[in-house]
Amino acid sequence: MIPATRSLLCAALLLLATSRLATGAPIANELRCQCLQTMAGIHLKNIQSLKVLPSGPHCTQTEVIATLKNGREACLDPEAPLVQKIVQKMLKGVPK
Amino acid sequence: MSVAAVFRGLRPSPELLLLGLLFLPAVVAVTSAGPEESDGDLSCVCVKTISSGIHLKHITSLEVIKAGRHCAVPQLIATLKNGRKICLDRQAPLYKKVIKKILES
Repeated sequence: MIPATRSLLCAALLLLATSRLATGAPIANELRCQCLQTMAGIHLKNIQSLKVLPSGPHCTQTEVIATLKNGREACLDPEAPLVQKIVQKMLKGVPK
Repeated sequence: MSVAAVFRGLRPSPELLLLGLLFLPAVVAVTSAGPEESDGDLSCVCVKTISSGIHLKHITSLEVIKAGRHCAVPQLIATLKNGRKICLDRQAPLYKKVIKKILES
C-alpha cells in the first residue's frame, strides 16, 4: 500500500510540473516578480486585457502585464503615463 | 344546417396547417434560448458587480478586460488575498482611485 501511494504521489507531482511547463504563462500566484523588463510602444488596440499586480512580499515593484490579441504577454512600465491612459480608456469602453 | 355550414367553412386548409407546423420549431427555439448560455471564453465573465467594500490591501491583482466581440462592456476583476475573484463596478470612482494608487505604489 505505501509504495503504491508513493508512486501515485510522484506521478501527481510529475503531472503538476509538466502542466506548469506546458502552459508557458506566468502563474498568477507565483511568489516572485514576473517582469524582468518592461517594453514601451504597445498600442491600446493590440491589448486584449491588462493585469495589475501590486507590490508585496512576493515582489517589491508593481507589475503591469498586458495580454495581447495575438495571445502574447508583455510587461508595461507602471510609472509610464501611457499605462494610466490605457487603463482609463479600457475602462471607458472605447471600442477598438 | 346553417350551423354545420358555418363550421365547415371554418375548417383550416391543409396549406395553413403546414405553415403552422413550419413555424412551430422556430417558436420553440426562441423560447428555449436563455441568457445563461455560455460559449466558454466567448462571453461576459461578470454577471454583476459591487461598488464598495473592497479595500486595496486585500487585492492581490486587478485585471481589466477590454470590451470586444466576446463581451460588449469592459470588465474589472479583482483577485483577493483569500483567492476569491470579485467583479468591480468600473464606473465607481473608488476603483479608478484604487487602480491609480496601485500604479503609483
